[in-house]
Amino acid sequence: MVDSFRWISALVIVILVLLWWYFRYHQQRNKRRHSHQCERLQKTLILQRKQIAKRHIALDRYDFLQYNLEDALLVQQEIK
Amino acid sequence: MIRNPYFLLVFLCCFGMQAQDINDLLDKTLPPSDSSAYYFSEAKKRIKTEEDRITFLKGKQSYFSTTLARDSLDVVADQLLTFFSEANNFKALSGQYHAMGYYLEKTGLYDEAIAQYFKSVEAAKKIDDYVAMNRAYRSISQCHRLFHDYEEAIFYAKKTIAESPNTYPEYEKDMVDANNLIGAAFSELNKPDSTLFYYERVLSYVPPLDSIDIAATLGNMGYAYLLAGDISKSRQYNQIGLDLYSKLNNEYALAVLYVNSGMTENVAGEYQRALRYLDSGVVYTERTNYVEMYKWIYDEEYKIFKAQGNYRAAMESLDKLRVIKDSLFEVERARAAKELETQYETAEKETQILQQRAQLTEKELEVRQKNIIIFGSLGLALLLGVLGYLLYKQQKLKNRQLQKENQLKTALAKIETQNKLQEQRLRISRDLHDNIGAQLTFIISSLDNLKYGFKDMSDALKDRLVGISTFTSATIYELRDTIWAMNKEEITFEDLQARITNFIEKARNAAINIDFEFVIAPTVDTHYTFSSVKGMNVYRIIQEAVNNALKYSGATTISVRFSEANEHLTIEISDNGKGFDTATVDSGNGLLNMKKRAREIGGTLEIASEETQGTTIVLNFPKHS
Repeated sequence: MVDSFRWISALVIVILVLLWWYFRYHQQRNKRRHSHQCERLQKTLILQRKQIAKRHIALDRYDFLQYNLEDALLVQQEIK
Repeated sequence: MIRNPYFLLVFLCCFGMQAQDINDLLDKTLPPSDSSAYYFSEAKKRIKTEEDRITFLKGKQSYFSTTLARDSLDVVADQLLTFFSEANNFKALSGQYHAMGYYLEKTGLYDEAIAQYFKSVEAAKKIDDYVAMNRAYRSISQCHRLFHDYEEAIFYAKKTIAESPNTYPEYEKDMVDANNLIGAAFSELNKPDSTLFYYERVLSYVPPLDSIDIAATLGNMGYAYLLAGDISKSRQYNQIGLDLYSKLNNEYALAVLYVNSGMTENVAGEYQRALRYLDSGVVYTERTNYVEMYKWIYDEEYKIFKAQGNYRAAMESLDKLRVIKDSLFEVERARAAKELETQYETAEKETQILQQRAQLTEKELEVRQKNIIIFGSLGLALLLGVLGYLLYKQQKLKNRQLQKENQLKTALAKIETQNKLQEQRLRISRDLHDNIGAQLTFIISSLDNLKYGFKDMSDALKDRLVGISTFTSATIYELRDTIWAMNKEEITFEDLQARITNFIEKARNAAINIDFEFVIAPTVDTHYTFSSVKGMNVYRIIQEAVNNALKYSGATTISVRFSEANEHLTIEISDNGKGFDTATVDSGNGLLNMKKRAREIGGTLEIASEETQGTTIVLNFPKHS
């Protein structure tokens, strides 16, 4: 009886440890994936913001007295 | 604390009665009867202490031992063994093993009995209990003797002598018993010298006349001396034995000793005396009903009568001997049958015990399986619970991550679309400017060429060409402003303020005799943001108004004032110049343009001027339109 109980307890503990390890491994993998994904999205977002800011800085250069529109309309070739 | 000593006495008496009650009740269970169960149940009710329980179990053990209920006896014996083992009571443990051995010996299971006796020896050795140890060794010796294995019987009896120190009080008694056993075994091996040697050793421990404990030894010695041929000593010990057993009134022993004495006298040639002893032997044999003894008596009578030449009496004795032998044969046969029956019953009981044990084992197995199922179910439930929790936690984390990723993706998609649209608009604007701007410039250039190509051109035509050229230039500037406003989307108040300041500064540098004022009332919300079209129109109106003042008013002061009231912005451009009559003077292109721009931004433009009183232009427009 005691042996059976010990065997069952040992088996349960081993399975619990394996489960914990498996879920921990997957959790860490998901966290890494999520972190990379977020980082990539953030970088793209920042790049877009920079491109918009660059366009507006160029548009701000337009002088109402000089009518220098060519300077204000800056084409960014990298935007497709 | 007890005030009245009588209470204490009564209490002790009651307690004593209680203990006495259990023993009395248990005593009444034997011999086994229909009332035994009742006495046991009554005794059970009186169990108060651990000691009572042991007493009760011992009583049950005695009962089952008597009724030969082996299975029940085993159960009770196991309980007692458990008690004694847990209490480390090795003396009681040795006694318990010995009791079980005795029961098994009694039922003819000598092998199992010897095994129990050995356990008894082991338990006794742990506490150096030589009395218990020797008792067990003697029992082992006795079992071997009953097996007719006399060498082993002698070996274990001698072991008692060899392993016992002479320091404990019961030493001499144990030595007497051990030497008796050895002597008896040698007697069975028909070795009278060795028999007598060990019997003499018995007498060395206990003087023959001092104790009745060695009566049997003395009786046996008489026979042994007869076998050894020492008639006088044989007579002497036979007589001692007769005297002792007469005192003890042991009729069986007296029958044996009278027959032994008869044998001794026959060998000695004292036939009459021998016959008298044999007659006495017959008397005690009749009382004990020990039929086998007749065989010895009639055989001895036959020998005596034959030696006397009394053949008739010898024949009669021979006939009696034959009859008794036949009878004995029947008795032996019956005994053999009884033994067989006993063995059969024992075997059957053993089978029953085995079956019960198998049933018990099966039940234990079932219980074990049930427990395993329960433990297993609990373990499984725990695992499922933990698994569910871990899955829930993982899913929750995934949802959170997905939510955050989706927010970022949505924001990115929005800004990306915005960026692409802006870029696309900007490229189209650039193309528009490049193409139409180039075409308009070409028109201006062509008009200039035309103007210089025709020398004799009339002034009216020349003015007309200049007008077209000026209009085209204005169109280019309008186009540039429109394209810019289309791309810029909005302009802050601060930006517009800076641009107006820059413009006024340049005007001030161009007209150093004129004072310029640019005032923004504190009520104006400087954090306001214009649409780029609105901002552009406001700027162009101010520019046009200031330029007109510079060109036509001859003013010394020109001021631009911003104020805000009721969500409306008001811009006032005023000068202290010569003014004009608004009723008589036609509105030129400039004024018309200003009014058109005011309408575009949902506002109104009012011109107030009088000759020599200066001019004031007021632009009023809603902040949100």
